[in-house]
Formats: sequence, C-alpha cells, structure tokens
Amino acid sequence: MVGFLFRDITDERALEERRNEFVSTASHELRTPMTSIIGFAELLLERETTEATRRNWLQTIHRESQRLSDIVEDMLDVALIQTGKLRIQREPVALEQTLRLVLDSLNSGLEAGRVVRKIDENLPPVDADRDKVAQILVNLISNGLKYSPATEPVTVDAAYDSERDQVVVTVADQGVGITLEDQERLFTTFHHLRHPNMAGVRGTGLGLYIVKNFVDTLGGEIWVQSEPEVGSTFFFTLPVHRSAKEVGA
Amino acid sequence: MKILLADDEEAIRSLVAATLENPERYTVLLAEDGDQALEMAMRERPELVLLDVRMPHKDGFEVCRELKADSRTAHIKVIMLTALTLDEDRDKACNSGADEYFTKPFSPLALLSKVEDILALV
Repeated sequence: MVGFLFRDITDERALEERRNEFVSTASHELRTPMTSIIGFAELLLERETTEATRRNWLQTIHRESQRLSDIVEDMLDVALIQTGKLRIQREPVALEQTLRLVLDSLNSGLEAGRVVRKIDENLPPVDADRDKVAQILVNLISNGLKYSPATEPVTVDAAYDSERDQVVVTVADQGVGITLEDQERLFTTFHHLRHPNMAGVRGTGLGLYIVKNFVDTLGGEIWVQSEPEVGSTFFFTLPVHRSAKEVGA
Repeated sequence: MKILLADDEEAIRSLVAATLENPERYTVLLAEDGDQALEMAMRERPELVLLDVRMPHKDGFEVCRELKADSRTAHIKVIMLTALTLDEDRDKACNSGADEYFTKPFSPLALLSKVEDILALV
C-alpha cells in the first residue's frame, strides 16, 4: 500500500513537473518573438529615426511575426495530434517531386543548395499525405542544415525495401550529432539539443514530435542513428502505394 | 553610465540597445550568454545589468546570484527580463537577488523609464 501510494505521488510529481516545463517553454517560445514585435512597433510609433533604421526594425517585426506564426502552426499540429483529430488524405505521393517542391520552399536558395538529392525518379510512389510528407522532409532537412556547419551538405536518399514492401527515406547530416541521452527524448515535445556550439540555434522543440506522429499515422516508422561530433542520419519508412504494388507485382 | 544586457536572442538585444540608445548618457554592452555576461560584468563594472533568464551556459538566475555574491559586483543593480511567468519563477528572481523583474513582452518605453529610475538612485 505504502509502495503504491509512493508511486502515485511520484507519478503526480513527474506529471506536474512536465506540465510546468510545458508552460514555461510554451511561454518562452511565444513571448520571445512577441517582445520583438510589440517592442519595435512601439519604437516605430514613438521615435523619430532614419529610413534605414525604420526598415531594419520593420524587417525584424516581419521575421519575428513569421517565427511566431510557425510556432503557432506547430502548436496547433500538436493539439490535433494529442486530441486525436489529426486528419490525413491518402494519395500516391512521388517522393522525388515532393522533395523538389520542399527545396523550392526553403527560405534561402543558399540553404537549398546544400541539400544533395539522391532520390531515384523511378522509385514507386508511397501511400501517404503529400502535405504531411512535405512537412516531414522540411523538418528533417531544416534540422540537418541548422545543426551542421554551413559548408557541409545534407543528403536525402530513398530506397525501395522489397522485403517489407516500403520505401526507406534517409536524411543525413555531418553536424554536431546527438548524444544517447538526447536521443531518448528526441521525439518528445519541447526537447532542444544541448550543445555548446548550437546555443543560438532556434526551434520550437516540437518539430520532431510532429514528424514522428505524422510518420506513425501514415503507417511508417522513424528512428535515428547518430554520433556526437560526427553527424546524424534520420530514417523513416512509408508504405508503397497499393496500385503501384499491384503494378510492380 | 554603463548598462550590460545579456540575452541569447539577437532581436531582443537589438530592441533593448535601440531603446536605451543615448550615447551622451549610456554605453550599452551586449552579452550573448551567462558566461559572457559574468565575464563582461567583472571587466566593465557596469552600473546596471539587464538579464534574460533562459540563456545558454549559465541562466540569468545563476548569473544574478554570482554577481550579488561577489563583493566586487554586489552593488550592481540587476533587472531580470523574462518570458517565464510561473509564481516560482518570480520567487527565484527575488531569491537570486534581482532588484527588478520585467515580464516579456514589455513596453520598451516602460523599460527605459524603469532604467532611468534605477540609475537615478545609483
């Protein structure tokens, strides 16, 4: 009985700690861009300044608004996942074409130029949701770019696994890598990598949680192989589209 | 008068630097993390330190405690700037020895007014 009670209290404390951590992190992630937006708007209204400075402040407001919008989108995705309301629209998705669209959407052409595409055009289409696959790729590629030196490439590869009749996609970087301790919490909410060289790297800490849930919902699996200071490779699988399987059979 | 601002967010550093820009009255020094803040505070001996709470290496609470525990820097006024809002975060700020506590998002002009009040007493 005492042991049972002790476990209950411990569980409650752990839950309370996680709740507090969630509130603190969500508060920090939302309030930080809001501070810049409200602050620079106030300075624009109240201060006389040069045209160059005005433009600079407006650019910061625009950038931080985009950041806030991304955070809100991620939080809405998490809410949909956690309330079981995530909807997917299955269709045959050509990975090579989706990757090309993802690279076009990356903010900087310079960043897109660091991505090495190795996806075979003849790969069978996967049975998935095009938007969700795009979001998975955007998240994994952006992480690879963020957590590796600007001179290093991020390689996206995909191969057909005939044994399990699925496509295995890999996104590999030569970045800071992930410790075993971080790997254990990698796909949870609000987890940020702890690495001294990456202190200024931004992120909501929700991306990989969302990615894992999208992959799970699409009937695939996701995992990572990583070595600190060497790099990380993320693997995810997606089932081949049914009619494509029949054609290939 | 020297004011040291420590925040790992580049946009917040720009905002506070722009808010306090007044070369005849203030020299604003910028630090990107807790370690750098302590090192600069020790070297430059500012009259006021503005500290973000969530920073790499050492957080704002830790920096504040170390500043207040060292006789060479204990007199420096400290304002915490934080996006954290739980009661226990406010308690931590008080316990670390901070003189004021500002919650993000804040009005830059309200911050400027608070800075002027504090520096008027130095």
